[in-house]
Amino acid sequence: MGLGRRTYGWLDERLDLGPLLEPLRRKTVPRHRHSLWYLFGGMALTLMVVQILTGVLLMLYYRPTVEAAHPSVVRIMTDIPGGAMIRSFHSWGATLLVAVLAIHALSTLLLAAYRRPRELTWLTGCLLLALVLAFGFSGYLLPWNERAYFATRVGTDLAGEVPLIGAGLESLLRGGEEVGPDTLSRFFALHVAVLPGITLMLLAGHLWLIQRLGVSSPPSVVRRGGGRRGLPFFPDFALRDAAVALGLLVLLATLGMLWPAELGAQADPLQPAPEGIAPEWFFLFMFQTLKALPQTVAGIPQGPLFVVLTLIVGLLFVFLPMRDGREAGGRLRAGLRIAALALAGYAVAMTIYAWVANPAPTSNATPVEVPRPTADDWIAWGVFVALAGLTAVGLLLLARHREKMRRLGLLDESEGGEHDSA
Amino acid sequence: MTLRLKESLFDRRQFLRWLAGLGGAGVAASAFTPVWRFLTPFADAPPEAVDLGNLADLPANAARPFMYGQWASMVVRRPDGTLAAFNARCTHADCTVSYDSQRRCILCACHDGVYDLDGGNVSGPPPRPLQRYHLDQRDGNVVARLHPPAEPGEE
Repeated sequence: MGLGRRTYGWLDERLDLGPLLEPLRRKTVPRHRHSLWYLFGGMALTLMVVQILTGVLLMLYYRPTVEAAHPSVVRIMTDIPGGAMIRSFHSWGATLLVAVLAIHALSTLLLAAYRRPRELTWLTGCLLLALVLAFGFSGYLLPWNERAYFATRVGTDLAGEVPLIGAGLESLLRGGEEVGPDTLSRFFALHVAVLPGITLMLLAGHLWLIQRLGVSSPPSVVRRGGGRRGLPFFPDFALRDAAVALGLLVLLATLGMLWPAELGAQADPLQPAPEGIAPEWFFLFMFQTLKALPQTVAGIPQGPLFVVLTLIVGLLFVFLPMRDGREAGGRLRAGLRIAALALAGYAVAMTIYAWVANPAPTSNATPVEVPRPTADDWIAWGVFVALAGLTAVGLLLLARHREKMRRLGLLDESEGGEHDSA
Repeated sequence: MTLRLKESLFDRRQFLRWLAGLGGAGVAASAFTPVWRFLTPFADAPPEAVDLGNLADLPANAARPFMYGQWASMVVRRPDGTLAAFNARCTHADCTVSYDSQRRCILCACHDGVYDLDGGNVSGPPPRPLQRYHLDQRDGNVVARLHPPAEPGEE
């Protein structure tokens, strides 16, 4: 008996693991032509793990004070061996996580996976998306460079436009009247303690709900009676998940080699905002909207109008799907699909418009250059990519082999149960 | 004669529950205030005046940044030679504005707000003019003040 089995036996004898692991053993993933979208949840989970691990590593050298923050990040990028790659993983990981979650949410809307009884899965997912955006906003400030400094001033100023609670919220976020040392401490505490705590709890809830309720099949598939025969999650779907996770790591490593995370110039509160200043890409469409809106619309000043509109769209995004309970779906579902596509189209169009219309960013001071990767770095990258790529291909081949065995009826099917998609 | 209630409006269990709930809410409320005050400290009052030096070396059609307490600010020598000083925080979204010597205006690079050399709005999203400081001379230096100095007779 192997060590793994012996350990399991020892634990099982004391904790009775069987009933705990039973749902995982029986979990299946519906198979139909939209099955591809089920991979995005696993991708988000992989990226979150990458963010936690690289985030902890960055904390070992990062110093959260106005004087030391930028120099400490420069040190990570230039002096600490492997530091540039760790920070690039963290920065590109954030970008990919937002993109993957946007696709995950959009596919949930289009496939109506939010419908009864999965409203709470949708709700926790929406909260997790909001938390990831909060992570992005708070983490952006931590290197204390020019772009981050002004993005934070604009972002916290907008929070001040929220009706009734705005002034309190702005002062709460900034820790005073101005973006300064206390803001940096606050954002650091948010980024490394408050948000991770809430996120882990919600993530546990989200995953538990998926175990409890099973994976949803789209209404069109249910109507045709498809999707009932599920693919066992362990090991079949997990093999695909793992191969995709390795693919993501290869992508992150490659992006980090080609375009390492930027450093910028240290923020100087005395200097004006440089030309071409812009926020992170996932806030660009809101930034461009803010530029395009006139001073007042029908007598309402732009600031409150923008914030209230954003809040309304956000709340509708979260709560409208929860009203669409029926299996058959009606006008609300059709409307939601169109609204989701329109919102996504608007965001993409405004982001492209922002890229095209705004001048290239300039800087008041000379930005610190990130050193290019050396030949040794490329060799290490090549070894990693080769190993990860080969492993991913191996996992996919194994998945295909099991597929063939199943078709021939050679697989013991007791491990994967009948899938009930209702 | 004794007064007896057949039915209590409020039995003991309900009363105790109510009391416990009230106590819990009271503890939470009394703890909230000090925590909220800890989280939102009072802002330091801005200074009465800031000495900008004699500004003889500031040429016409140019600006110089300075801090008015915590506020990024700028003093402009306008093309006609007169001075004007502003709180440089854009009234739109709180970016710091800059002086554009070619267009002879004050610009905010964040959302393309444009102000004239009196701080008035020209174009773009800013809803209000820039906050302008009062300037006066003291011992040959230029002094910026948030409020005009009191009349000499009142002192």
